[in-house]
Formats: sequence, C-alpha cells, structure tokens
Amino acid sequence: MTTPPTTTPPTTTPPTVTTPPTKPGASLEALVRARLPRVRCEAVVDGDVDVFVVAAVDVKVLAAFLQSDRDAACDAFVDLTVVERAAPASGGSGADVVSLRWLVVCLASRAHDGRVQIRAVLDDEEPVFPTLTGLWPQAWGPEREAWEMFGVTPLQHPSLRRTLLPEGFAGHPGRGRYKLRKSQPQVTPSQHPARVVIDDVRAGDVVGGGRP
Amino acid sequence: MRTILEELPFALFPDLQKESDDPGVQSDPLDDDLVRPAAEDELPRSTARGRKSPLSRHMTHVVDPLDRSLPVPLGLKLSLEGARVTEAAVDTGYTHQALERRCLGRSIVGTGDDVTGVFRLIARAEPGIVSALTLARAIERLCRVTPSVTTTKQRQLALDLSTVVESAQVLAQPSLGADVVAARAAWRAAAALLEGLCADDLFFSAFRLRRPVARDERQSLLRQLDDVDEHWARLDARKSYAHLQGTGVLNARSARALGVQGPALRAAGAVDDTPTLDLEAATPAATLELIGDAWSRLVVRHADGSEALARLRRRLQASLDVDDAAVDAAATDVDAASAANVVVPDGIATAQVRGPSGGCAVLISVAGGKLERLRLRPPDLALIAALPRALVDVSLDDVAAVIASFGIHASAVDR
Repeated sequence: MTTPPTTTPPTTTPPTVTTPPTKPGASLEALVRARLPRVRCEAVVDGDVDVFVVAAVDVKVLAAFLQSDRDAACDAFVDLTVVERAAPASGGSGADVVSLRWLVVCLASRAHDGRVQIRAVLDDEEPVFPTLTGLWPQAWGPEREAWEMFGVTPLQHPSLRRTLLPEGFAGHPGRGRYKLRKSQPQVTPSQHPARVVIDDVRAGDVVGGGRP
Repeated sequence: MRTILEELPFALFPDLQKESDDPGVQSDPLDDDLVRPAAEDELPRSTARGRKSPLSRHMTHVVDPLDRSLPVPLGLKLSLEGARVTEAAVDTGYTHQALERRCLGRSIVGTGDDVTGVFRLIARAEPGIVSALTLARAIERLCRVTPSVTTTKQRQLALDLSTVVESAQVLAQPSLGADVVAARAAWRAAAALLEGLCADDLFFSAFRLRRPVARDERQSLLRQLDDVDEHWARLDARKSYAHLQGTGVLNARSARALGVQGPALRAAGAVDDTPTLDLEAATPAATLELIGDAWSRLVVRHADGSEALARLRRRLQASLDVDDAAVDAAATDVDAASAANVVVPDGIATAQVRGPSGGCAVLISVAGGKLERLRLRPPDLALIAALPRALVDVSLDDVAAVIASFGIHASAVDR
C-alpha cells in the first residue's frame, strides 16, 4: 500500500492542501498490516465488505484502529452479535462437528460509504471479548444481548444486566443447543421488583395523576 | 402500534363503577390507571399475537404494573422531586416472540413455505415491511445478485407507504394529549393501502417480487392516496403538539452516543448520516431549528410523512408513464435471476435499510442453504436506551407523551 503523498505548505501563505483519505478496499488490509503489525489477522473482501478475522483479544485493538485511523475512518458502529457456526472438530474424524461461537462486529465508514466486519472465534470454555463501549457507547445494548442470549461475556462492560430475560432464567436461548421445551422458573408479579416502587408511592409521596 | 391490551391478552382494568360503589372491593383506588394480568398464577404465556410457542411460553418477563397511557409495555422506575422526574430507569421485555430463534434451520432457497415462513416471522418485528425488505437485501448480497430496477422501484413504493403509515401512527397516539382524529384517519387509510399493496406476501421474497405490481394496482393506489392526502392536510403538527415544546429533550450529542438514528436524531438538529447502502425511507437532512424535544420529534415525523406522500405520488406517476412492455421486459430479466437459478453460498451477509424510524440491519449466516443465524437489529433498542435521558426534568403528566413521541415498537425490541 502506498500512503498518499502530502505536500508541505509554503511558509508565507496559509495551507490549503488536504490529503483525502484512502478508500478502503484491497488497501485496507495492507493498511492494517502496516500500521498494526502486532495484530494477526486474516482479511477477506466479501462482496463490498472488508472482513477481518482476528483473535478475540484483539477485537478492540483493531476496532479502535479502524475508528481512529484517518484513512480507514470506520466511525459508525452498526451492530455486534454472535453467530454460531458448525465446524469440523480438530483432531477428530471428518464426521465430528463442533459448534463455534463467532463474534461479529459490523462497522461502517461515513466518509468512504464502506463497510467492515471484524470476526473472532470465541473460546468455548471462556467466551470473552473486550467491550467496545469505550469506543462506541451504543454497543452496550448489543453486547448485553449477546451476553444474555449466547453466554458470551464482554469484559469490563459498564452495566451488564438482564434486558430481555427474567432473573433466574437458566441457559442461553440464542444457542442452538438450547432446548425449546426447557422449563424455566416463573416470575409472578408479587415477586417482581417493580411492585416495590408502587409500595413506595403509596407511602405518601405526592405525585401527579400520570393521566394522558 | 398495538395498545397495551393487545400486548397483554389477559389484562384487565379495575371496574371503576364497582370501585365507586364499594371502594377497595377490587383493588386499591390508586390503581385505576394501572393494568395487571387477570390472575397472578396464570401469567400470559403467549406471544404478543396471542399464539403460543414453546420458547416464548417461558420467556415472559413481567414488567407489571403498567400504566395504560404507555404505548408499549415498559416498566418505568422514576425518581421524582415534586412532580418532575429527576431520574428514570426503563425496563423492557414482556413476551419474547423468539423470531430470530424460530428462523434457525429454515431454508432461504426457492419460494416454498419455508422461505415464506422466514419472511413472515421477521415481518412480525414492526415495521414488518422494512424488516422483510432488509432480509431480502441480505439474501441478495450473500448471493451477489442485484435486483432489477423494477423490483427496487416497487420495493421503494412499499417503503414510502410504510413511512406514511408509521408517521401517522406516531402522530395518532392518544397519550400525546392532542386532537388526533385527523392523524388516526390518515393512519387507517394509509395502513389499508399498505395492507393491500403487501397482499399475497408480495414482498416476502429475495431477488424479485413474487409478481410485479400491476399497472391497474398502481393506478388504484394513486387514486386512493387522495383519501390519505385529505386527512393529512388537516394535520398541523407544529400547532397541535406545541404543548410539548421544551420537554423530553434528547440533544444531538446524546442521541449520537446512544446510536439513535432516524427522526429522533434529526429532531435533535443532527444529520442522519449513518451509512445505509440499500433502500432508504427518508432523507437524512436535519432541520437545524429543532432542539430534540418531543415537539421536534413529532414535527419531523409529520415532515417525513408529507415528504413520503409526495415522493410516492411522483414515483407512482412516473411508473405509469413508462411503457408497460418495458416493465414486462425488465420483469423477464429478473426471472433470469430467480431464486431457482441462484446458488446460495455458505457465509455471512448483512444489509441495511433506512426505515421510517431509522436504520434497520439484518445479518444472516447460511450453511447448506439454511439459516444458521438471523439477526435483526431495528432502531428501537437505541430509542429505549435514550428514554432515561429524555425523561429527566419532565413533568410526570408528560412522561407518557414523551415516550410516545419516540415512536417505539415493542415488537421490534422484543424479538
């Protein structure tokens, strides 16, 4: 990859030359390899999407680079999710198949109108990845949902709590191995913490009617 | 948007007459705005549509009690100073439709019931047509197929009409505290048109529509838009919702940080420049005079609806000015790329559509022509995340109106 040349402005006149960012594409892989040599990645151009496959521990490093680098300029966070894919078991016969959880982060570039994906295989015993909420605050929701539904943990997430499932729910219903007919504890209104709020209100606080 | 009673199939209100005759016989008189399930030991175990599914049966997350003025089942925990909110926490999730989970293992090849079933499931996440079109684009991207110009234009018709329906729906909510008769009439008229246009699962397929929208259908649609126009012309969002000026403010910086897109972002005076490489329902331009309050969001919705109506008329008229033979020829070209001839590779693909409420994204992972994963990311989760910020310093009487101004779909959040 060749870095676009920059011109040195004359000392007596104000600078007017600006270097346009390089459009991502085949050069984005070279950009990453040149400027992030310690991150081992496999890059594929999948249609109009640049896909980088990295180790889970490097997801944040690569994402931060793609966000901050002027030539990459992947400043828009689109989505984060987990995909469970079947793969041949290593060391086993060809018929043995295991289910791997892949973290997929979808980014986009406003400047270049392009898309990038970061994919990482998550360890089955300890499926963790560094949270991206420091780079994009809106990642909190998808990360929390990935934790609830697929059992993967975003490390140092600012507020990891249940969003869709009640407390006491066992298992991760997004996973293929989750049995649809599994029974779960039932949460009754009398047990729900929301009831506590109403009791507090009845204790004599003066409030509005709340009517439309 | 369905009402609370439709979301909670076993809900009931206390009978106020009985309560008046014998206070306390049913429940505490302070509860007359609250909705509870009929019996504590028989929690609703059905999906929001009243059907039971094994997964949704036990994924019922109760956020009872609910106030009936809310548009969606939300548990609100408000800290108050007098009658003003100082802090808000929002809890969501009542019945889980398990849409994504139920699509697993289904085929996306061909036009059989399996494929139609996937589209029908994903269309339950409102607004349904946007989700379905985004899924279609994701499948096309995976297969490296570009739909014909005719297909794209006719999909755009559905998207524009969906914008009109959505905008009218938001403006028609009773909890906004305004006269919503005209908005409700416009909503009903537009919704009927959209239902007619989407009949026979017309848009529930990839690569092409199930059949082109015929000339007489487009002529009829153009004529019937007059009904919608008649009601829409009576709407004056700037005046009708003026009582919500200055309340429920979500500024541009907060909106961007939370990933808010669409009307709520533009209402804060920011450009909605989220990259969307597929279909678009509205222009991303911002109106700089707006400050992100509830009034601004409703004004933007009204503007979106007006623009979509105008655009729909232009596109329909343009389609009628084209020689039908040319349209048929284009449709024939599409047949060459029909599902039967396309090889569906294994892999992951994404698509994004700028819907009426913001960007809708779909990710699919396919192996052997079947779905390993379907991920639907509508814009509504970000809107829910924005509520705690927007509700600060709002009067308790305006809480429901501020929530309604965002136009959140419960079924989009709880998938």
